[in-house]
Amino acid sequence: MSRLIVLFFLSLMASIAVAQDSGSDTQLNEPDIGATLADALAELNRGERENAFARLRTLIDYYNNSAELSAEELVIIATAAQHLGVVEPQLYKDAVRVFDEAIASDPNNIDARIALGNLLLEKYNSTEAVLAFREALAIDPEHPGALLGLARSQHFDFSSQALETVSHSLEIDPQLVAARVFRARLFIELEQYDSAYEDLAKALDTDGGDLQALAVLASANFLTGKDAEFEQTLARVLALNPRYAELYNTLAELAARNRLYREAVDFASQAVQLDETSWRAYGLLGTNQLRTGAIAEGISNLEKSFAGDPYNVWIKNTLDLADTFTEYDTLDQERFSIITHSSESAVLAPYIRDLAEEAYDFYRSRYGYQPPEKIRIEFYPRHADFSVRTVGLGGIGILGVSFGPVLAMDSPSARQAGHFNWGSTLWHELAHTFHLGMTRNRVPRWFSEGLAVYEERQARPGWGGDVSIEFLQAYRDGKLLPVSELNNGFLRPSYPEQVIYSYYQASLVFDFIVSEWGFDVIRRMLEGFNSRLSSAELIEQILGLEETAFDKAFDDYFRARFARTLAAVAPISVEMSYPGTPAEMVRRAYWEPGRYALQLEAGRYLLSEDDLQGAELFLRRARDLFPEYGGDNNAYWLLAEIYERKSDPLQAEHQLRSLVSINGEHYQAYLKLGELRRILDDQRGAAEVLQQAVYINPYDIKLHQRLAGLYAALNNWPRAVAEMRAVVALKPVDMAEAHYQLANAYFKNEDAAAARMEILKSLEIAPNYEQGLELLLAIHEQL
Amino acid sequence: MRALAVLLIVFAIPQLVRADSQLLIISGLGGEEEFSRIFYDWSAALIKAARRSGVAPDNIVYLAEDPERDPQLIKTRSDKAAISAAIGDLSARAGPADDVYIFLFGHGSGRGAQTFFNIPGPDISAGDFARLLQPIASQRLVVVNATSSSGPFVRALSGPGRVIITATSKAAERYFPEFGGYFVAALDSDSADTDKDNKVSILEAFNFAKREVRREYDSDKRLLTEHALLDDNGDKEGSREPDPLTADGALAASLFLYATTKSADKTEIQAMNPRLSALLTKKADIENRILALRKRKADFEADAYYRQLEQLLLELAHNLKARRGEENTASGQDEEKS
Repeated sequence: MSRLIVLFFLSLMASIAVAQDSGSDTQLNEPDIGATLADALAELNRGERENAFARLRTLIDYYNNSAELSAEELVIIATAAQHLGVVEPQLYKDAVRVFDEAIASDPNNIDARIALGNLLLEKYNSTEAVLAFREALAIDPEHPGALLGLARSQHFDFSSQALETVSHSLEIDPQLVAARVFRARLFIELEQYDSAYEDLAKALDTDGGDLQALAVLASANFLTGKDAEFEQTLARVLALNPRYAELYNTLAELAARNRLYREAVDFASQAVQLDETSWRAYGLLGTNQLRTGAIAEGISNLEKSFAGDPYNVWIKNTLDLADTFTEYDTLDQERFSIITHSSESAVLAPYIRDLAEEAYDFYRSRYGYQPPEKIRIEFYPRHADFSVRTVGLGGIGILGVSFGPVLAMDSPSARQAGHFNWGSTLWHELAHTFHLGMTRNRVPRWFSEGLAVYEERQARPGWGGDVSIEFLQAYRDGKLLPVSELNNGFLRPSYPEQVIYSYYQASLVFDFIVSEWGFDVIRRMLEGFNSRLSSAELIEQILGLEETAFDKAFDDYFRARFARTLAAVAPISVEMSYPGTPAEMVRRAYWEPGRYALQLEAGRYLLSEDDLQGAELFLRRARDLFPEYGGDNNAYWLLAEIYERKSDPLQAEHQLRSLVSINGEHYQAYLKLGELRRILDDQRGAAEVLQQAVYINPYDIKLHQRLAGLYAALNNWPRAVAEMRAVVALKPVDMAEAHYQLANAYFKNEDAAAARMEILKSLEIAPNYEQGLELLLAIHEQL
Repeated sequence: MRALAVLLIVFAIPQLVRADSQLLIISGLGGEEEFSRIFYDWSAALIKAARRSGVAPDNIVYLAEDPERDPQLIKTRSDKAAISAAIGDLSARAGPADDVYIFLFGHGSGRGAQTFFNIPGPDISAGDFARLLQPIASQRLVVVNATSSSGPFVRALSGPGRVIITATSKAAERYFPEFGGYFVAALDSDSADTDKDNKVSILEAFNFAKREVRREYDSDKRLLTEHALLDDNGDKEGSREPDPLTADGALAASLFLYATTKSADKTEIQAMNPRLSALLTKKADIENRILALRKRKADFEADAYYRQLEQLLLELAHNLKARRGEENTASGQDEEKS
């Protein structure tokens, strides 16, 4: 199905026809139009839409019957057209054209530029909205309205600059209610409710009847569990405007921003009931229904939204994606629905199922909680599709998302083979499903992300990230946030790497908590979040420390844990600049055994010179200085190479075992380790480690063949069948052989019927395959 | 009638007369050391595998841009005159029953309507090759052009008794193709032997290489910029998906680069034993019935199709058992005699 998006480009202005005749005979004189617009807006504020629209149409008539209008008048007319756009979408384009006329008439008219920017932003064209705001700021760099518009655009574009920009606007005009309300929204998204309340109080002091301020206040009350105040605020808004759908739209939007997707569905449903022309409400309803697993209902509501507002690129993208859902297969289990693209479902779905079931049992037992509904797991072979599924746009920089009962993530085929551990990501996202469910989605971001990474580490050695030199440098440079502010590292990162660092740092907080207080306190803290207690309150009540004391205790833990490494890792700029010849560098490394990078560099150099003995000395030192490092150029990998070259597979095995226990994404290390264990006649160990490699690259036919061979040698025929099924699903060139091997595994697994079908498929391709013909006869003896 | 002719090509009883393989490998300009090394590696691997499989060393000629890289292996520099001379020698040397194989490794380019193989000195065009190959008329000829922009070679060289394979489908596919490496690997790989007859046919090698190329591009998340073609029915149109039952592929399925001494010996034993001979005739009959059934697969429900297939395969399995019994008896008698 094709779906056209209506774009809001200024370049289209010339071709847009002006609205002609609205059918009204009313004539207005110039002094009336400002008052008319004010009256209409007041009526809209009261929910008297029909009256307001009639009044706004008189302004369109006035425009059509006037020869020449001033810039100020044109802004009024454009504003009227903009408000009528909700029932006549074409008028949005007319509004832009008239704003453009106003600007042409008076290039210094800042209001026209700001109003145009606001309209463009309302119609999702942030790129041109920013231009309009910047043009306004070029005229007056301190214009609070222009700064507010710019802040909104920045927020639209996921920039953390928005808070700074709107704060600047408020410094210039502390009475600007819209800026106060916008900043309060930002604070709510950052879960900084005290600051939000402060701004809302000031906004309502200035204008006690401001509906947006009240809607945001209702949202803050709802999110902080102030039920009575929430109800009072709702009543206050509806008394002012009984059809104010934006109240519930705001609630739905902020609820969803705080991961309360079910509540968002409820609020958006109420918005739709209040105003059946609230296309935003249909969009919010549909989007959050998709997040909570109501797929058909969600798509239906998105269709309604897009029919009324064909400018919304998020909804267009999501509907386009939904059109492709027919290309996906569903594996329905008792506890899961696993959705994978038909091109890879045969390979992936069984592994996803097995790991998801394992994770479910693990989390249920660990947390004493069982999700009330079936969990939907979606794997997308194109990252852009996963991104649209998550945020409606392409380009999201994450691998997976959990909305609670619905998980969406990149399939391994969405990424370069061997560079993405889909297993640990699935384990991570399923942790969210349990933690969100236990807390009714009240768990704060730092806690849920840190705990999910911590749980990855419990699942498999090497999962859950590893410490990098850059991470330790960031700590040394004071760029890691204290635990009490760690949420900002996720929600408002101040530098590009901060989100990644925050994930790992937050997971270390759980290492610390578990080591000091045991795991049970984590369960109790989750219960506390369910009771709407804050992180600070729970740290104090359950861990017995005030927030700042806990920050200090964690910092002490961090310093102690990485003491030796912190000392060994000098700033990169110092480490990477070695004066002199390689021989001098080696000499320096010998006499400075506490310098990590120097040891590593000397080891690598000597290895390249085939001086295995010398290289081993320096690489062992490097490894011991920074034993938790398993990233690029790690010492374990190089040491393993040395031991392999010295024909010492046992030592090589030790190095690689250590490496994969800290880096669960090193595909080549898994493969090599599997081979070393085979050489060491440890078939069980080889199978175990190669099985982990499937979580990185499930499309490697040789990997599955090796696993099948190992399981066959171990007489583990059910697993051999599983691996050979994967081989067949991957369609190797030699399909006759693949079917034969699968038939053989089935036969050994005493499933003669399945074996029969497979051997027939094999011999269909290669009728003279002698082993196949022998197996066919053997199978027939058993049937 | 045409279908029957195809069946006979595929499943005829092995002939006693064994053809020799004549192999000419030409690697062109690398441009960069990395490519020169790759083209040499492919050529050397092909020669090694051919020798291991019994192709006579005298039947293998290798021309390359830099003979100094491996004077033992490389006969001379691969310029236009040397190529012309080598093909002339080849056509003079090859017997009428021989199969002639020519491999081109290197870069290609398209200029206007012409497509070229880039070699030291002036490049050589597809048209030049067409003229040079004219004397090779009675032998079966396989040309594998593994260069970039090689697609137009199909139209230029296509003809009866010829298999023309190109790494790309058109001149516009200008990036270095991976096809050649996989094709060479296929010729020495059990996993390319998809019909399990212990030999890798040219068709099997083509399919293997094509599949592995796609897998590599998919794995690296690259856009597939090479689409190999095979033409062997002389219609000047290459197929991306050759199918011996319908279009291109029948001749390529019957061609094997290497001499198959072992199976030839077996054939001789079989010919001396009338019971074995009868069993082989029966085997060919069953194979043809299987092929006929496969062609009509779409006419059946899946269960019915596989039940019928199963009966034929069981016949074939029993036939195999019987043949083995005869072979064992024959080899026992041979041992007694010796």
